[in-house]
Amino acid sequence: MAGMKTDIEVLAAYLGHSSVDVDIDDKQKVPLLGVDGGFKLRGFGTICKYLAKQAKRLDLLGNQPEAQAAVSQWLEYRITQVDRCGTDKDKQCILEDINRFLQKRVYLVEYQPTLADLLLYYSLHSVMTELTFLEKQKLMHLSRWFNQVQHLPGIYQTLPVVPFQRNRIYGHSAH
Amino acid sequence: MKLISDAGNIHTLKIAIASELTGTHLQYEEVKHDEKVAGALTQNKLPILEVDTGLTLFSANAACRYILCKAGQDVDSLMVDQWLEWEAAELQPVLWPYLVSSVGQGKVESKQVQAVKGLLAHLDDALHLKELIVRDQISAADIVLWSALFPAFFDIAALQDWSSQYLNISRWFNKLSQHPAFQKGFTMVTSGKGVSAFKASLLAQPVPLPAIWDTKKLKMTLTGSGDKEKTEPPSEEKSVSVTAEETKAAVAAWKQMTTPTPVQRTHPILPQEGKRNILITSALPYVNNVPHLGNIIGCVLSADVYARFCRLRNYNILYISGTDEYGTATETKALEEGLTPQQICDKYNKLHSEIYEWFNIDFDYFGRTSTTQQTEISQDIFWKLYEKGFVITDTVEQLHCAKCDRFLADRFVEGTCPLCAYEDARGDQCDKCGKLINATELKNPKCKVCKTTPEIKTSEHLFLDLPKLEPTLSSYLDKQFEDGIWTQNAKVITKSWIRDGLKPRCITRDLKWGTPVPLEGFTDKVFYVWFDAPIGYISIMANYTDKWKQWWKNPQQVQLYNFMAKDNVPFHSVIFPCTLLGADDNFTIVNHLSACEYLNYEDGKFSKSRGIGVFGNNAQETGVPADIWRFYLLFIRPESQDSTFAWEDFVLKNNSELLNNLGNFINRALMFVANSFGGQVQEITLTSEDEELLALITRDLKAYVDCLEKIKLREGITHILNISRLGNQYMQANKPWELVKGDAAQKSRAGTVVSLSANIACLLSVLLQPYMPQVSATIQMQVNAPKECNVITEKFVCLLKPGHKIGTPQPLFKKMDPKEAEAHKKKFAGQGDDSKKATSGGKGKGPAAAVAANPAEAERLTAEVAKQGDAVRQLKASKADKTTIDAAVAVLLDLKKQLSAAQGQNSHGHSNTADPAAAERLTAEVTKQGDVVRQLKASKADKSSIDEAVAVLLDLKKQLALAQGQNPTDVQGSGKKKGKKK
Repeated sequence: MAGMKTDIEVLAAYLGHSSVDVDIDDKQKVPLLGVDGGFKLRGFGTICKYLAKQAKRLDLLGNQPEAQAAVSQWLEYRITQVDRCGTDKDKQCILEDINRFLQKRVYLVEYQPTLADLLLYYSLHSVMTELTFLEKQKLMHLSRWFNQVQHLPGIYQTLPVVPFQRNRIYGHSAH
Repeated sequence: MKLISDAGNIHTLKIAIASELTGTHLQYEEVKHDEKVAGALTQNKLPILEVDTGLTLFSANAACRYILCKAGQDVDSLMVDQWLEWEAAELQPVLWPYLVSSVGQGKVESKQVQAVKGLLAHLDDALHLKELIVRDQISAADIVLWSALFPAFFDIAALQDWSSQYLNISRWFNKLSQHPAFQKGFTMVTSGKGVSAFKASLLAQPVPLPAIWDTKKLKMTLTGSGDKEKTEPPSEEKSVSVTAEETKAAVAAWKQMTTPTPVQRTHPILPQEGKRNILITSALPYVNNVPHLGNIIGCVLSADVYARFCRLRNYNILYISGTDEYGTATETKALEEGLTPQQICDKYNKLHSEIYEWFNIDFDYFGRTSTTQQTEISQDIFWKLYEKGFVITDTVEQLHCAKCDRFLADRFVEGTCPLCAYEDARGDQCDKCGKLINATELKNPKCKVCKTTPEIKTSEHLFLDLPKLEPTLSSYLDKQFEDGIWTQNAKVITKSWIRDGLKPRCITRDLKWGTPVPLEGFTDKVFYVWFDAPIGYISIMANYTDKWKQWWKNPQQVQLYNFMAKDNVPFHSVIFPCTLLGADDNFTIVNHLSACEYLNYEDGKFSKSRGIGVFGNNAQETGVPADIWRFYLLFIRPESQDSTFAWEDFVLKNNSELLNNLGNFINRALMFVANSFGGQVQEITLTSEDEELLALITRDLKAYVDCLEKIKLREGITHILNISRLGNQYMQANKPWELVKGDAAQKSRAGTVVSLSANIACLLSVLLQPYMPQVSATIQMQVNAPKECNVITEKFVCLLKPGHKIGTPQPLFKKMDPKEAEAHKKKFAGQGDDSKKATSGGKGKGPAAAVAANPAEAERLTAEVAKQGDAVRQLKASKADKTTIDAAVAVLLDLKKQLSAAQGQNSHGHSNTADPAAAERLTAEVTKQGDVVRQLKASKADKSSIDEAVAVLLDLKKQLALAQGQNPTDVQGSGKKKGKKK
C-alpha cells in the first residue's frame, strides 16, 4: 500500500535520526540500510527495529517477551499481508480483520503505542484517506485507533491528518 | 501455552522444535486443515499459539522466537530478525508454491526450481564459514529456516542435488538434522510418516502472497520469449555467482577516481571531535618472565592487528601497553637473581620491549607501572573510593616471620602439603598434587628467606566493597554487552562472576614492592597488584602525555577496547570497572573486550620451567622472519576455542598458503608486468569475466572489513587468502604467458590480465598490513605503490593506473624445510618428552603431496576434468544405468581433487589434522552406519528414515576423511576447520 522506503524515512525522522540512506534491492524490492562497518541490514521490519533501537526507543519494540513477539508478528503481518494484498476485496478483508482485532484494544500491542502501530498506520494511511465517512464509521474500532495514532506527539506533523467524525453520523438504517 | 494446529503443518514444525529445544510444555489441540480458530484473522492460517496471558500469536516465526525467549535461549540480535523476515517475506512466497507443486502434485516447473535456487544461493553465502546462522547458539533463525527447507530437501524432485551445490547449507542443515530437538519436532509433526505427512496441510493452507512486483515480473517473463532460459543453462561448475548489482557496484568502484588519503600520525594522539576515537589496550604482560607465543597472540599481537587495521580505516586510535611490575612475583624473582626489584624490572622491561619490537608490535606507547604517576593516580582513585564509602576494613589470618619482621605472602612460605604430604609445597599451591592450598594450612611452614618457622597472626586489610557496587556495574555492563563487541567467553565469565555474587575483595598486601597505601594505619602495606595493575593503563598514558585525561575522563567521545587472554577477564570486566564506577569521576570504562582462549604447544602446555615451547626470544633465534610468526599465530589464533601451535602445521601453512598461494600469485603477476611489459601497467579493458572477478574480490573485501571490525582476526586472514586464490585462478584461466605471444588483440588482453593482477597485488599489500607489516611494505615497494593506497575501504579501486611503473619483483616467501622444523621441534620440546615425540611423528606425512603448485600438471588435469565432465553429461543424457554414472562421477571428483592440489589451492588446513585414533573410531562407525542403511533398505523402511540414516552416514564419512587428513572439499567444500576431533 505505501512505499517502504518513504516509510523508513518518515520513521527515521520521527525517531530523530538526522538522515538515513535507504537502498532498494532492485531484484527483490527489499529495502537495505547501510549500518556501521559497511554491513547492510536487509528487510523492512528489521531496519525499523534497528532504527528504534538506535534511537533508544526500546518501548517501541515491547518491554517483555510477550510484547516483543506481538510487535514482531504485526510487522510480519504488514510486510506479508498488508503491503502485498492486490485486490480491493483483500484490502477490505484486512481492514475488517484489524477492526475486529481492535474491538477491545487501544493499541495493537498491550497498552502503549509500539512500532506495530506506527508502521501499520503508515501503511494504511493512503487507504484510510480514500474511505468515506460511512465506511470509516463501519470500521469504528480501526478508525478510533487510527485517529489515536495519527495524533500521537511527533506523528501528526509528517503525514496529512485523515479526518474522522467524532459522533456517529449514520444511523443503522444507512448501512 | 496452547498450540492449535492441523496435522502435518510445516510452520508448526518451527514451534515444535522450539518447545523441544527448551523443554517448554505446550498443550496441543489438533484441528482440521481448514478450520477457523478464534483469535486468528480472516484467513484460516495455522498454527496459532495461545500464550497464557491471553495473547494469541498467529505468526509461527514470532511464536518460535517467543518460546526461546521465555526459556532464556533467545539470541538477541537484529540478525535473527533479519532472517525471520527473510524467511517470511522472501523465501516462503517462492518456496511454498514449489512445495505445493512438488510434494502436493509431484511435478515442478523449472522456473520454480530456479527461483528457489536463487534464494538458496543467498543463504549459502550467509552460511559461509559459519556453524549456525547467528552467533554460535541455535537461534530462532536456525529453527525457522531449517523447518522451512526441510520438506524441500527431503523431497526427491528437482532439488536433489542441493547438498553438493550448496555446501554451506548442506553442512549446517545436516548438523541440525542430527540434533535431538529437531528430530523429535519432526517426528511429532509428521507423526513418523515422513514428508508425505505435509501434503494435506500444504494444499489446504493459504499460499503466502507474492510480492506485487514479482507478479508483474512473472507476467513479463510469460509474455516475453521463453528461449532466454535455454541460453543460460544452469552452470554446474560455479558454485559462487554474483548478482548484476554486485558487478555494477564493483565496476563503478574500480573506476572511482578519488580515494581517501591516509592520516599521518602525530604524537601525542588525542581524541578529536567528530572522529571515532578508539583507545586500545593490551593486557600488561607481567615483568618477571619472558613472554611465550601464547602470551604474544593472546594480547599484544591481537591488539596490534586491530590497532593497525583501525589506523588503515583512518580512525583516531591510540594503542598502549606496558609491563606490570609490582607484586610478590617480582620480589621473589629479585631474591632468586640477587637483584633489587627495580633492577629486575628494568632488566625485564627492556627484554619485553625488544621482543615486541622484533615482532613488529606497533605500540603508540609502551610503558611500565612502576612510575610516580602510577602512585599518584592509584592513590587518588583509592581516596575517591574511600570517601564514597566503598572501602571496608577486615582482619585476615596470615603467617608472620618474626626474624624477617614481616607478614609472608603465600609465595614466601614453603612446607609440607596438608593433602598429599609432599614436602616441598609452596604456600599457594602444591606442585605434586596440583591443589590450591592456603598458606596457613601448610604443615611445618618455613619462611622461604630465613627458613624459620612463621607464626599465625592476624593482620588488618582493606577491602573493596564489590557487593555495594554490583547494581551500578550490572546496569553498566548490560549496556556494553548490548552495544559493544564482547567475545563469548568474556560475557560468560563476567556473567558467572556476577551470578555467583560478588564478595568484598582484598586490595592490600603485606609487601614492600608496590604502590604504597596512603591511609593511616595501613602505610606499611601496598596495594594488591590486581587493584593497581589496571590503573597502570591510565598511568602509562600519563607518562605518554600530560593530557591523558582527554582519553581517560572522556567516556562520551572515547571507546575503550581491552585485549587479553581469558584468565584476565574478571579483572577487566568486574573489578576494574567497579573501581572506576565507585570512584565516580567520569572515567572511560571498558566498552569492548576481546578475550582469547589458550594456545597450547604441540601436545601440551608452554612451560618455562621445563623449557617446553617457543618463547619470545627463541622465535628470533629460529631464523624464521617475524611476519611469518605473526601470520601463523594469527592463523591459529585461539579465537573461540583453545588451539595448538604445531611445527608441522607451521611448515605446511607457510608452504601452502604463503608460498604457493599468496607469494606465488603476487610474484607471478609482477614478474609478467616486469618482463613482458617493461614494468609498466597496461591499459585495462574489462571483460565480463573481469567484472565478475571484481565483484568476487569486493565480496571478500567486504567480508574482510566486517571480520576485522568485529575483531574476528582469524577469519579475516581467510578472506585475504581467498582474494589471492581468486587471483591465481584468474591467471590460470587466462594464461597471459600464451597471450603475449599472440596477435595484437591477444597481447592487449594479456596486458589487461596482468595489470588487473598487479592491482590485486596492491590491494593485498594493504589488507595484509595489519597481519604482516614487513611483507606488506616489501610488496608495496615491488609494486611501487602510491602512498594513498594505505586506507582500507570497502571498494576495490584501480590504484595502479595505466603507465604506472612498478618496482623490482622478488620472491616474498621462503620455503620452510620440514627437517629444519623437526629440529626446532626437538630443540623446544623440553626434557622428558620423548614418548610424545614418538607418537606425533607420523602426523606430518600425508599432506606433502598436496603442497606444490604445478602449472603444467594443472593444465593437463583441467583438460581431463573437462573431458570427464562431458562423459558424465553424456551418460546422464543417454540415461545410462546408475552404477555407470556413479563410477564416472567418482572419477570426475577425483580428478577435480587432483587439480585443486596441482593448482596449489589448499585444503583449508584439513590436511594437517590427520588423527589416527579418530580415524579408527570413525571407520568402525561408518561400517556400522553402513549396515544400518543396508538393513533399512532391505526391510523397505520408509524413505525419510532411510534418507536420515544416509545423511548420518555421509556425515560420518566426511568426518573420517577429515580425520585421515584428506581433502574433503568434494564432500564438504570450503568450510572452516573446526577441529572437532575428540
